[in-house]
Amino acid sequence: MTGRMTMIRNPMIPTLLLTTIVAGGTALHVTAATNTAANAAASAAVAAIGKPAPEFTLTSPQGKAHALGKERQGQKATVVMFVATQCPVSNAYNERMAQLVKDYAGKKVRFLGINSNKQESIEEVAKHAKDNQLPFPVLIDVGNVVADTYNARVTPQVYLIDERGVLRYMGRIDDSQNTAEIKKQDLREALDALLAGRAVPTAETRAFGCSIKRMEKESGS
Amino acid sequence: MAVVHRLSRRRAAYPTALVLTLAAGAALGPAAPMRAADTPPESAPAPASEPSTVDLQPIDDKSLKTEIARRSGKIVLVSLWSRSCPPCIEAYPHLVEMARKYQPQGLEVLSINVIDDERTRRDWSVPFVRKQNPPFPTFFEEAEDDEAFIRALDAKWYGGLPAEFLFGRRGYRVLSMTENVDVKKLEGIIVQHLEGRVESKTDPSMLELRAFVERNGGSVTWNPSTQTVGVMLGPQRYRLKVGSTNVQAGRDGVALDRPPTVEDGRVMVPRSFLDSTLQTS
Repeated sequence: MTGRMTMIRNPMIPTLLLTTIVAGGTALHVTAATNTAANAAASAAVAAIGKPAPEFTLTSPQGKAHALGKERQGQKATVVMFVATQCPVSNAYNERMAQLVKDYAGKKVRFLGINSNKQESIEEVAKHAKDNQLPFPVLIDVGNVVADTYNARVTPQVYLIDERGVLRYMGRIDDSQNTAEIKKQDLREALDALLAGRAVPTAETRAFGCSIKRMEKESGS
Repeated sequence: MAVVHRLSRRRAAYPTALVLTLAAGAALGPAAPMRAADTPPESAPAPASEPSTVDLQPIDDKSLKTEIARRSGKIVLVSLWSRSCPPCIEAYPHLVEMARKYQPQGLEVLSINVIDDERTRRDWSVPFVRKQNPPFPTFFEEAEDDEAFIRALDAKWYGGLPAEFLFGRRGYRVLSMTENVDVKKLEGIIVQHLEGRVESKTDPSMLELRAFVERNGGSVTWNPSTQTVGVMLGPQRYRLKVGSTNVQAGRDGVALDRPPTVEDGRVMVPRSFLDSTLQTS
């Protein structure tokens, strides 16, 4: 399974996201900028288990705006997945994420991808989603504002939101990048519990992944 | 039981394979330049001119603590990497270089391979390490649960790579560099710890007391209820209080230019106190 992972040795540093947006046309520029401001305003809220999942509006590479509140409507669960194009760990999950969407089709579960990596361009995100036939929109988180709000640190990292908009699970998809070694399907267990009206067995997990590459800020490391 | 579980999880085929690989490839050339990460390093043919420094030991959250404790008195860098982490692979040769440079001054590096499965380790990671010929041991994370290992390193860390953790001379963690890992910056911080002169992030005229004292063979005790620090350095005894410029030095009193402060749980004192009072003791 891991054999098909590709390594990117020299991640081509793509044109800065912002540059791309500016060059990409006024409409997209305005939308993205507005979204960033709105999301920054919403980011007073912080993601926490048992609390309402912070609202966000992000745009797909095609320029379509997706608001969490709207996406959730009529759904029993919403899964927000922070992903990357260049992270081999995230890429090892492409098929698994697609399978999840398939397996939960018809069960009122909405899947959304978010790319917050500053070095992955809009074009790259679009191409990656197409090449890997990802059956969910991958939204662009300019300035990693939503990643900050959700305290998403790695890819892949997922968040499960219930029908009332409350965050019920955050963490890994499962416990091993290598499908042969999986012992715990954390996301599926949480989803199944949620859909069955049971308590989510483990609300928070962690796993190795790729750090989300954020915009430079005052950071104490 | 835990042990049985672990054995069944990863060990089945893998140690034998590793041992074989090791034996077959005892040949370590000098550190070779890095190759494109998607081409596996060619298996090293070769004259076994020097003994292998490549240790291939499993490590879990418990044995990690033991490994750090064993290196008491040294500054220990725990460096995590994976084939799945391009920036880690890119940084690796620099870490090797840094380790060579600072080992004589008391730096120890524990290199820990994570994520990679048995086959990747055997076919790629082990040959990679062999090529790089590091002067430090390499471990393979084999905790029963990765999460336990992640939390053992830093409870606030989410497992993102690259990740570098620095431990002080008594085994306490002094730095987690888990985002925007910058080897140059890391080197600068390591040098500060090796020299016992760790600057405040906000005010370079303030230095960390403990790093200096332990660098010079002494020890410190902290009393949180009184906010006082006791220093034992050779025959000398000092008592400092956060927020107060009065220092008790044996039976005498010494005045500080500025009161000690606490930064990230560490007591910082004016540089002049280390340079004059403690240095001459």
